[in-house]
Parts: sequence; structure tokens; C-alpha cells
Amino acid sequence: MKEQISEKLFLIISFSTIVSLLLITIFIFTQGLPLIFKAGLKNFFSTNWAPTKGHFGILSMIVGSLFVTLGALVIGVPLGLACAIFLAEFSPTFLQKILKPVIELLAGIPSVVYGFIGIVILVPLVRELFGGPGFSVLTAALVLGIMILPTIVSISYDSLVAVPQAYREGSYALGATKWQTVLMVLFPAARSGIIAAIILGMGRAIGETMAVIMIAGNALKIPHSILDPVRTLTSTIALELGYSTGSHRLALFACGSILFIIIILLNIIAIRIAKRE
Amino acid sequence: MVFVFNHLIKKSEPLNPNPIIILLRSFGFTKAIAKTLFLLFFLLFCSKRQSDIIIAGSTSVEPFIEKLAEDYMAKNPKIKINVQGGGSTAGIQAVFNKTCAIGTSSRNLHPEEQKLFSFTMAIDGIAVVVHPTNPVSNLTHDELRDIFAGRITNWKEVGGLDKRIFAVTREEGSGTRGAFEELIMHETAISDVCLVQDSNGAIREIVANTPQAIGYISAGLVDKRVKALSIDGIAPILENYKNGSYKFLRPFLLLTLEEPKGPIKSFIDFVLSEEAQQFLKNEGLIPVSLLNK
Repeated sequence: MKEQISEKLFLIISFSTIVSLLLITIFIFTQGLPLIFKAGLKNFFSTNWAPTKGHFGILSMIVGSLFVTLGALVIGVPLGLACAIFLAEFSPTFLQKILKPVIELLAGIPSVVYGFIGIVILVPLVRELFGGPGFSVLTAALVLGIMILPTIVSISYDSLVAVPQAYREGSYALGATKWQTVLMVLFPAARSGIIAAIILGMGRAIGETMAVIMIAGNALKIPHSILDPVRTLTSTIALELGYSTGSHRLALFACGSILFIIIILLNIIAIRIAKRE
Repeated sequence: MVFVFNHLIKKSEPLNPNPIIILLRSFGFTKAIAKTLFLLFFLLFCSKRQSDIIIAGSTSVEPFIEKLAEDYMAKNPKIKINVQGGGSTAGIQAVFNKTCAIGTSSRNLHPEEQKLFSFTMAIDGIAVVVHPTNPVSNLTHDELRDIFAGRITNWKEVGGLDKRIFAVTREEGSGTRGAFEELIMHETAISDVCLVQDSNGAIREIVANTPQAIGYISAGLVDKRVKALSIDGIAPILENYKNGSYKFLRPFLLLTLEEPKGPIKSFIDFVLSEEAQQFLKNEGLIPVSLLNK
């Protein structure tokens, strides 16, 4: 009896998560999609964003989101993979015991703190060193690159560690060095995990809002260089939601729908790749 | 986003070698428990006491009303006032939705919003601010408009150093931006090259830290870290508001859905009282009484 009750209870609880996801999806799309069709795709995917005057072009924000995310990957992926390889293959156990939790602690720092550090230290630094306003694609990419480190490090570390010991021994037996083993044996064997790590890191970068608002400058123009300011989809929603009414509000939901679609696509790809193992 | 969330929760669990398991697990119990906890907290926070007055709206009005609310609560310990930001439009919406008792707005009401009861608590100037080290201290109205329209991009064109101008504007829908567009830009659109920030404070922060920046904020919030420019030779100071020479002014409104009564009326009366008006004047705003004369 007790068994049955607890079983039902947990079933209901786990269904509630699906229901909430479903409700969020339905809500965002019913709010956002009608406006996209009403305004027309051409209007919606233009670069003219003046929602209070009937222009709903979000192209520059989509491009902005992609630029910033790409930048974050350029910085985060090499760093993260290097970290994961070192932790999994080269580091002595005691160092591993210190480094792993410290890297994972990065994920626990609130994003507003990253943004604050960015605005106080990185923005003036970028402005002094490279010129431009300092609020730029580069600054945002630097901060996001660090923010996605824990995601990339822990998942790719896990998949590197999961490669059977026999593979390593086989490789050493053939006379391969440690580095050759990492490059030629472990990497291909852990490939799916590493790709999943990168895609999840990408999802984190594209969804990040607070830190980006603080350091990216949020200018609507499509950036011409990495020193130009940039506006992402998430920052538009967060910046303008408080003040928006009517179709401006719906346009923000439409932004949310597009973001939702991008992230769902990323996650589907991640799951597909992970399953192929 | 969903994945990110799960991933964060998963951090406390032992390591998991297989990414498939990581992905599948994310639909499991950890999430359900986290959601339930969240809901519980949410309910707890929602159960507010009846005697609280919630004030929400313009971020320009917020710091002043916060201070006034503190003074009021010190005198009337039984009444709790809760001040929130959100923006003028959000404040007006909140009054209509009855999610707050008093809304604040730093712009004039649109025609469809006119049916609210509105009380002008003060008049505010919009000040154009630059970094204190900037040699420019006066701009003409046209120069100012051209800077924000992106037609003037270097300080030397307006008599400053040979440096790029970084104009900082407010986000679409903001009351201050609305007033700036109405009073200064007229038909010209604000350029999309401008940096965008979502509060007076954020703009002041950027201008205070960026030698080449220019922005506009509520005149009451100008402090030592930034320099307020004169426009057409007229400085944003109280004298010039009074004699009507500084043109860039907008009202600070308190809004209610119904004729105010009880503690709400008492608070509005307090804001309009001599003492509170004197405080607003000291803070750089124009008291209502001066306006009526």
C-alpha cells in the first residue's frame, strides 16, 4: 500500500515537470508566433528593431547571439578541453582532487558576479588595450568563455575517464606516447561526450543574460568587429520586458520563441550525438 | 536553458561517466524536487500581508519614493511600504492589474491610460551627462540630437578631443527614453549604434567610467562622478527650471486605479506635503508648488 502511494506520488511529481515544460512551451509560442506571422517574416527577420513603432526586426539580435556564443566557444572550448585532458590523463591525484571541485565551483558563481567583474575589470581593460567602447563582443566572449568552462570540463572529463583502461594499455603497448594516446585513441573514443559537452556549453552561452547585458553594450547595430558592442536575444528580452506593452511585449515573446527553437535544436543535436556512442 | 538548469543541479552528485545518462537523468527526480521547492518558496513569497502598500514603476522615481517611503514608515510604523522598479509602463500596467497600489511614471500618460487617478509629485529635468574630464561643457540642441542620431561621431566635431563618441541610451519603452525622444530627438530616431542600458544608474555608471561616453539621466540623479552639460548654454539647474529656460522637463506621477483612501491617501498626502516636497527640492527635483505659481 505504502509502496503504491509513493509510486503514484513520484509519478505525479515527475509528470508535473513535463506538464510545466509543456505549459511554458505553449505559452511562449501562443504569445510569440501570431506576431511573427502578423508582422510578416520579412519584417521580423530585418535589422530594424523599433517595436513601439511597428518594426520588429530581430536579425541583429540573432546575429549578436550567434557572435557572442561563437566567441565564447572559441575561448571556452580549447581551455575547457585542455583542462579536461590534463585532469583526466596527466594530473596527479592530489591535484585532481583540488582542481576538479574548483572548476565546478565556477558554475556556482552567480552570473551577475561575472558581469560585475566584467564591467569593473575587463571592460576598461579592453578599452585601454584595444580601443572601442570596451563593451564589446570580445568582452562578452571572454566572460562567457569562462562561464561555460565548468560545463565543458566536467562533461568531457567524464567521457575521457569513461574510456576503458584497455584502450590506453593497448595504445601504450603499440609504443604510443601519452600525448599520442590522448590525441589518437582517447579523443575519438570520447568524441560523442566531448561534442555533447561543447553543445551544452553553447546552450549555456546562448542562454546567458545578466552578464551579457552588463558587458556587451547592447547596441542594436550588427557588430563589424569584435570590439563593437552587441545585443543578444536574451538581453533584449530582459532589458525591455519591464517596459513593454501590447505588440512590443508580444515581439519579446517572439524573441523568446526563436531562442527556444534554437536551444531545442541544440539539445536535440546534443542528445543525438550522445546516443550514437 | 532547461539543460543548463539540470546541469547545475547535477553538480552535487557523484560523477557520471556517460553523457547519455547525464542527459536522461536530467528528467529525473532532482528536477522534480527542485521544482517543488521552488513552488513552495514562490507561494511563501506571494503571501503578503494586507497592510502592505506596494509601489512599482519608473526607475527614475524609485530612489526618491524609496527615501520618502522610509520617512513615512518611520512616522507610521504600522504601515509597510514596498517599493519596486520595473519602469513607467510596467508601473502603469501594474496599477491596472491591481498588482500594486500606487504606480509611478516618469512620462506623461498615453490617452488610453488617462482614466487613472494621477498626482504629480514633482517635475524632473533630463540631464545630458559626460565624464568629468570631458572638456565639452555645452552642446546645442542640434548637436545633441545629431550625436544620438549617429550623425556626429567624434568629440572634436563639437569642440572636444579627437576621440570617438560613445552615446549611451535607454532601452525601447523606457520612460526616460520616451521623454528624451519627445523633447530632444523629435522625429529623428535614436541611432542603433548607441549603447543601451536599462536604468539611470547603469547609464551614470558607464558615463562615470568611460571618458568618451555621453548619456542622459534624470537630473535628480546627477552626482559628482558625472558632469551635466548645458544645452544651448542653459544648465540643468533649479534656477533654470523655475524660470522656464531649461526646456527638457517631464513629470513624476503617482497613479492609482481608484480614488485613494486610507493609508494610500495618507502616503500620497505625505509625498505632497511641505516637508516631502522640500526633500525632493534638495534632491534636485522641482517641487509641484513651484510649478503651480
